[in-house]
Amino acid sequence: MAGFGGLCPLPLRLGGTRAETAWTASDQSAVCRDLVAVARVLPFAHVVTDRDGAVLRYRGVNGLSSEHHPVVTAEDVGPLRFLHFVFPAEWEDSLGLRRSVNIKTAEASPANAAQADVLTAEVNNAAGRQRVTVGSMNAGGYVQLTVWGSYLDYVRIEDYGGATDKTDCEPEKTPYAWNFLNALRDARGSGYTRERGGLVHVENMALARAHAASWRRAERLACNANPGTALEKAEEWRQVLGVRRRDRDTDATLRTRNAAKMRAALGPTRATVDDAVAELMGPLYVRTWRNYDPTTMADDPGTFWPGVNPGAATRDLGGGAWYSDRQHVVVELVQPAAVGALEWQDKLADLTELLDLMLPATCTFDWVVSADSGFVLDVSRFDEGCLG
Amino acid sequence: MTTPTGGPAWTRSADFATYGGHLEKANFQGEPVINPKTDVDAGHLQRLSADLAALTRVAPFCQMSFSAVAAGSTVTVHECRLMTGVTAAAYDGAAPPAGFPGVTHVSAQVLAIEIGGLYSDDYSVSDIFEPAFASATCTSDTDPARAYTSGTSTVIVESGLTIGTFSVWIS
Repeated sequence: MAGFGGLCPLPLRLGGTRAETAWTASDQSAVCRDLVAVARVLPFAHVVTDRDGAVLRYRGVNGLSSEHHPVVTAEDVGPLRFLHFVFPAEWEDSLGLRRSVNIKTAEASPANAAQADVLTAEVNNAAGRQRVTVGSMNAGGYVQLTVWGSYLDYVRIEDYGGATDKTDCEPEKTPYAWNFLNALRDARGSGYTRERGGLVHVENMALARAHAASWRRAERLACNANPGTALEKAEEWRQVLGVRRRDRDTDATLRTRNAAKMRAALGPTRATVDDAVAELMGPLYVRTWRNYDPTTMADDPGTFWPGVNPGAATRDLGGGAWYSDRQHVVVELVQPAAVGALEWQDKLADLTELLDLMLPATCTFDWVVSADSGFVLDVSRFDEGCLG
Repeated sequence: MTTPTGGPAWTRSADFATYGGHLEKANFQGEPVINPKTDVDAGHLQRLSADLAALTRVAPFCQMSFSAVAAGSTVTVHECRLMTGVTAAAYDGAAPPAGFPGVTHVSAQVLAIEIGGLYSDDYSVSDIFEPAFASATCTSDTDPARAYTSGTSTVIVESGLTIGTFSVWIS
């Protein structure tokens, strides 16, 4: 289901099969994805001024009116005219939230026929000011300045309710209140009108909404009893499970960390480990590599012991060489550009903690970003061939 | 047929209320989300509405590239992306397909893009676009290009050389 109104009020429950009424988790994820993508590349503002710095036109993420304009001052240095644009460090958005400006890139260009010279724009955010300086203005010239950099550079899908594990709502495929309304109308029998409107309908609606609210509360209780779907009780789950809290955790990331930790209680079977890692890493997870398949008991070329499959004499510490890679687990990951360094490090720290908890002490583990092209060294990817 | 709230994106008139935002918007009876894996909170819709309105204010209306060879000759528009659609093929700047801007020589080294006018969005809602901001680069020319608005419907593109491939955005 999806929709608002008396029978299916907010929060919006994703799902449905009819395009006319549905808004599925996939639809919502696409909106989140594309909005975040567009936010990353669009400029913060366009502004056109004359040679003296009077703002002639302005459009910004922060608004359109004069209160949103930068303060522009003119300065003459020898024969050259410089314009200094100082943008407000923050503004209050339409929801009343303080939003930051952090100008990082600027582009200046002539904005009328009188301005023929090449213009340069230099970003200088010293002293806490969001300042851009534009040089070389002609008499009668207009300059257009476009700047990039604001809180929108860092928006996440979670800001819009997105999450990598979002799914359609199964319990309330049709609104609870609608089902109750129909049931109440049927239960009253033919002695009562079934018309929409009038006292009977009003009473049916009121009862249906009340019943629906109680069903939603029951579902909410069930969701909060599961660390994978808890929101209000996520913090309690975090404390019970011993998950470390980061200031930058979103509801969604804390939920996945709690859920992955909970799976550790199921024991270190291959399937449990894989499921827990997949839950924790989401779309970053590719697969888990192991060197030995216990279901086939096939000979493992990486396992050596004296007499049966002797290892290299150079690794013999006395009594023959014993060594094996059977207990080594390698998790293959991908690192999309959208996952910043900080988030990536957080994910790896969580993965290490989880595997350390779940795997037996005899097991070693590692992660790779690609199973066949080397490894990550510091912040760059080196192919093994480079070091060979 | 549904008619969206407010004007098309290029009117820059949207605020968060255009997309259903409201300062008092809340979940029913102020209760939290039932299941965060399947539900969207009123607060998230608020955030989406506000950010979409903010981005709509600064998004370019048009990005296009074209080649000009010499004064009076044909200008070939290689690609034109408008808020209303994207060209499927290159076209002659003097004979643009319906809904796309024409590009013609004004004089040597000066070209005019006729872009202001009435456009329709995906819901067939029409409104006027007037260019307010423009920028140009000349990709096959070491001499810089410039673009500026002229009147309510024209963008002038100038370059030190007539021959070149220009890339222009207009907002």
